[in-house]
Amino acid sequence: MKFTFKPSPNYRDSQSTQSIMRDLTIGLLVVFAFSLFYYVTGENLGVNYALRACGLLVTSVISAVVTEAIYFAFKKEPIIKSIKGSFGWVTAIILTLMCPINISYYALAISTILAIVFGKLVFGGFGQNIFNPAAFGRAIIMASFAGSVAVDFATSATPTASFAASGWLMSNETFSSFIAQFGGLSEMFIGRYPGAIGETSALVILLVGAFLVYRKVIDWKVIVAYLGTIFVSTLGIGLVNGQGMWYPIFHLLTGGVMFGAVFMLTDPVTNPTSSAGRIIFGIGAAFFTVLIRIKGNLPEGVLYSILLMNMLTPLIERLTTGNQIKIAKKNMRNVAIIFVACLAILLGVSTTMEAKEITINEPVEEIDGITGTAQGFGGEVSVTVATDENGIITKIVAEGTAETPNLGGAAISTFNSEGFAKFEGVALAEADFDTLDTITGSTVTSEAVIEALKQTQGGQTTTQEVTEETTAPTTTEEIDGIVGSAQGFGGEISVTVATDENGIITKIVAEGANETAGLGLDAIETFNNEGFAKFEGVALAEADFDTLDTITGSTVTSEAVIEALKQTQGETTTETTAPETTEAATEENDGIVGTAQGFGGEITVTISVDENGNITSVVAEGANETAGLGLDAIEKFNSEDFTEFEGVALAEADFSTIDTVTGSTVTSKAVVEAAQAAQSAAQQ
Amino acid sequence: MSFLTGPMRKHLNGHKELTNHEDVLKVEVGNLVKIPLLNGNAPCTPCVKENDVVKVGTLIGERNDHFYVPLYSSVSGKVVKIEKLMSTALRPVEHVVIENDGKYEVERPFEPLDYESASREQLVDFMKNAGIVGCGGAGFPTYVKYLKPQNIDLLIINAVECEPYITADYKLMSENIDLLVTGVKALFKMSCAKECKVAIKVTKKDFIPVLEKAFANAEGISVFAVPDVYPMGWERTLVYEITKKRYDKLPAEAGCIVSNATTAISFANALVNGMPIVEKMVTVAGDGVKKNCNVSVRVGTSAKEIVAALGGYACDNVLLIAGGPMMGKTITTDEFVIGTYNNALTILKNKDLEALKCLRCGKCSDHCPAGLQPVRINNAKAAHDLDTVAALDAMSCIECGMCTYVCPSKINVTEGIREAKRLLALKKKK
Amino acid sequence: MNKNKSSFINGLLTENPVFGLYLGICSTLAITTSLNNAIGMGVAVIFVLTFSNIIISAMRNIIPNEIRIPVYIVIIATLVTIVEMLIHAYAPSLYSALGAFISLIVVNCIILGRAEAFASKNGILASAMDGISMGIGYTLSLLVMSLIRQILGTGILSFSNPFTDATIFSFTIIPENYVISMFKDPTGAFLTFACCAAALTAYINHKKKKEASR
Repeated sequence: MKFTFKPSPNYRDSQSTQSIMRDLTIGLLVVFAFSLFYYVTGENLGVNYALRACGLLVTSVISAVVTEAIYFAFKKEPIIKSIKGSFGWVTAIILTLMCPINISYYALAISTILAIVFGKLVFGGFGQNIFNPAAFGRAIIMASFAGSVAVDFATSATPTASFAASGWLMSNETFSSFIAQFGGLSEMFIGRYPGAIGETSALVILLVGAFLVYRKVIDWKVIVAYLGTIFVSTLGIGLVNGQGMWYPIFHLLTGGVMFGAVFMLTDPVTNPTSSAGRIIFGIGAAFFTVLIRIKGNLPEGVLYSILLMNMLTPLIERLTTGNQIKIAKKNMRNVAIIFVACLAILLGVSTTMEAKEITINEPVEEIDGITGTAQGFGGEVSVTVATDENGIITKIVAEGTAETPNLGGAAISTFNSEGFAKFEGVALAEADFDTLDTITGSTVTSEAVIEALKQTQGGQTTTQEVTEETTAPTTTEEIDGIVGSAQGFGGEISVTVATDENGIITKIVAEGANETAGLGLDAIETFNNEGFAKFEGVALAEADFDTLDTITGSTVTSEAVIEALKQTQGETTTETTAPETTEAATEENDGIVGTAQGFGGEITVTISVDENGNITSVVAEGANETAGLGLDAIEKFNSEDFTEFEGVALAEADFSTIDTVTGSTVTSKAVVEAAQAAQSAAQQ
Repeated sequence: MSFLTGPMRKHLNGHKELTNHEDVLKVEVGNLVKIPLLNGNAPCTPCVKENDVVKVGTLIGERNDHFYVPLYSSVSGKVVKIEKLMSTALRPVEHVVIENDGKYEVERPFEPLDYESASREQLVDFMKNAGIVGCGGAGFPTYVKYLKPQNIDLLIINAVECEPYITADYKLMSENIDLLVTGVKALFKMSCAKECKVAIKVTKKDFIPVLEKAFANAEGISVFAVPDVYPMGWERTLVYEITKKRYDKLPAEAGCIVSNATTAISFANALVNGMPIVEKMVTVAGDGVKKNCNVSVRVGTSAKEIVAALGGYACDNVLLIAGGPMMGKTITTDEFVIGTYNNALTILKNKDLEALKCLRCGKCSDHCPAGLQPVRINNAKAAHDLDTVAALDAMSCIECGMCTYVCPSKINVTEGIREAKRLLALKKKK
Repeated sequence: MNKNKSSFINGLLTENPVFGLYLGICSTLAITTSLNNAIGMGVAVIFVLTFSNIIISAMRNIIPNEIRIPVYIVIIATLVTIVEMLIHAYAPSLYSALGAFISLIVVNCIILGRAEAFASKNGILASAMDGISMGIGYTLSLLVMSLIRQILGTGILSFSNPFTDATIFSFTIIPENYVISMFKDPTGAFLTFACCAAALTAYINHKKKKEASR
């Protein structure tokens, strides 16, 4: 008979951490199920979307569990048991629900892994983390993977982004048409509008939240403090700025407010342990959410408000140290002060809010004509070009419902109303769509429109994906023609010029795989898409390639392209590193040659004289000089300084008057020396 | 203001139905009766020695420090020895071992007293001499509470019995209503209070009318129903529930005196029958013992005898708890005895319980009746931050066990606070 | 000599100025976005550190104690200015990449710290060795961090000749769509730094345990 010693108490409630996490997981999956339902039944969506959502969820959960398994194996702890006690899949599900449907699998997997490792395991595992790991993961996605989206799953602009573009203020009439796009406030409450996978349905989230509060899984105080403070403060802001009653309701329904309130702010590990502390936590989070929304540069404030308050939790705990009964009055006072202070600051800041004009993406006129499409910023952009029987353009209409309303959408509206006007009456085949004025801030959308327009000309479909960030290196078309090459920034650049039997340029394609992504590569792509267009139809021998618009920030690459192009004119392919500029198209010059040692190698100067001994031309060459410095200096000499000597008698020319170019002293001096050497050679 | 704090209480499944309606079993004590020389945590000196002959009611020991508590024999026979044995205070204490002659001859240590005609001071003296101690579990000498009552508005008779499994008070009351009424009235007189309330759980639907009828003619005494939550029977919670007042050290600061219902009955027994506490109503419950019911035993009966009378243990590995599961302590032998203020044996099958990591949910802080923040005390202790432990008022913990009960990670939070208290005490000593 | 040798090796690993002594962190975090920058900065620091150590050690007996810090700074600032001009002249792209951080070498804690802790108390040769070892340690840590950050943040591991900007090698290790661009930002810098510092501490603790158990 064994009488075990176990310190009192020896009685336990039935609710366990496992049951809490299980209830939480079920609640999350209910929200997920609703979003699957929305994807399957929603307009312009479909089963693919639902399948993708499931795929994303599975990816995230597997990433989380595998990461934890590796961690526990590394620490030599029993793996299955530790994983069961670490509840990593909850983080994964919450993170997935916070992401938009078009996030790439890779981005989600990497951020889940980083969230688990740096958001949870590094701090000691379950129960010890400071930051909500799912919020941490979402912040990583925003920092690293903003452009990493799957193209086929575009959704239209979210109400949050659109409203944020208007400066979080809108007149009542504008708001009615704005909200009508999404089906009105009632549809927003139910959740059938574009947004993150799980954050849209206030109805479902609140129901699940009520269930979880009933089951004592989450604390209602955080939710009420958070939503209540948002409501009161936005009500005040709305009143100050003349918004209607819809204003606080809209704030509550958009963004991740409901989702954050129920599933993230209530996470027990990262919020304060006492009731008073949690109320302060909710008020603070509401403060930051509203502040970031109305004054910050981000459209959504919920994510960062959660992370900021997580950071302040230890401070709140310190504020609420003591016997809760004895400090009840002090707590009450602190809560009141904090609430009033937050409200006051928000109301004060809201007086500086300014509404911005936004153009609603109105449905466009339907016309018959040739259609072209291209990938815009948020989704597909299409143009329809209507022509008469002679092929003359009568009207162009562009459409891009997924573009950001105030930027891309506004650009499209401008094109529709004014920008396309210049093409009306022009023959379609001759229309130069590159001259369409792009709108600042909507480069991607504008370029997509231009591309779509060009498609209608040639009936080509390209598969270029254009994003606001860097462009992926695309494989360039293979064409037959004359090849020229030059040394670019990172490696060799080659251009192929295709001509017809008359020597008229039909197409130019440039290639430079080693150029810098985002700079040189982009420049080459721009040339391939637009820049070379002006040379098409021009005779190769007469083409003035110097008129190619160099792209800012890619000077070296641009000049290398020009250099390579010029080579094709001379019908020689050289591997020289220097972009040479010569007055005449030919490379061979009769004349007196002088040489000198420059910075990187030999510099030669060739002086041509006429029968009278007067200089007709002076040409310097220095293949090994530094690009951007010595080479530029030589160019300058060739194009400017030496022209002064034309017509001057060689014997009298004083080359020392040539101004040395700053930063290319050696080269400059060498050129003068070489010229003088040529001079003295001539005189012998 | 309770939205700023948690509920600080919780309804527990009391399992009272296991023993509420079972008949009370009288368990005869065996050959050797051991009376613990213990009052609360204070040791008592024996007044008898080996081979002394004693009767029921003979003075055998006294507590003689700043309080006076006499201890009386519960059987007649011969003193065999004074032996150190394990007690319910979880440490070995001297016991007077008496060989029971089975005759139960009585030697009344004091005469009955008519409380109506006696003066207040006489009543207090009588209580002191009768050795009446608090039967709610602590064994505090009851007379001390009534020595000099000042500004007492309310006398509360605590019949709440919030500890799970225990129904001893209820059973005793239902069988001794007259004594209860006498005792309450006597205490009422002693307390000089303006009002008296008998607090009982609202879920005792059948018994409340009985009580109300019993006190129908008593002036100033009424029945007050309290919610069925733990720890409703704790002094502070009960006083707050009835008067909405909080106090620092003693209920007298809030104008209250609180006494347990069984104490009142024992007092009445002394007043009416001239008998000190020699018999106890003990609830034996739990899945570790074959039969659950209340037993009536003599003081000095060992737990072994009681369990044997009920059919024995239900399995090989049990938690043998003196008291209820929340505040009672597990004893590692069944040779300990029922003293004058024990009223329960809870015997549970020992199940392994594995604790997970604390998820800082704060349920313990929300439910602590003393308003403490157990999770933070534990974390501060683990970080060796004794200043924060002191700032969190850890010394106020009464070890009621509420924090451990609600903890979803099944951590023994209470034990952590005990350690913190020990560390603080150690630091103070230095 | 053995002492010199062991302290030399210490400067590389266990007393690595960046991950072990936590000195010079701000420049580490700011410029380790590419291998070029790392090596360029590292070489500059080695140069400045070694020579400042030598000069300060040579003059250690004549510098009055009360004004030693300003004197050290003057010496270091002179060396840094020389380095800056050299870089500007011969490696202009490096100059524009490193920007203000070249001038900030003056207040790099490593240099002043070693001057104060070592060069002012030890002989010339020892100080020189200390300077070189700390400098190499610093460069190694910059290399490690920029390797990680460049590969994860841009996917490309490349190095070009700082004097001529000619690419010496350039490998695309992670395709463009799969880079984690956070590592180009300070966020990634801090994370990488934390991991490297943790790895070094783990190694040091492991070594200590091994020695203690002997």
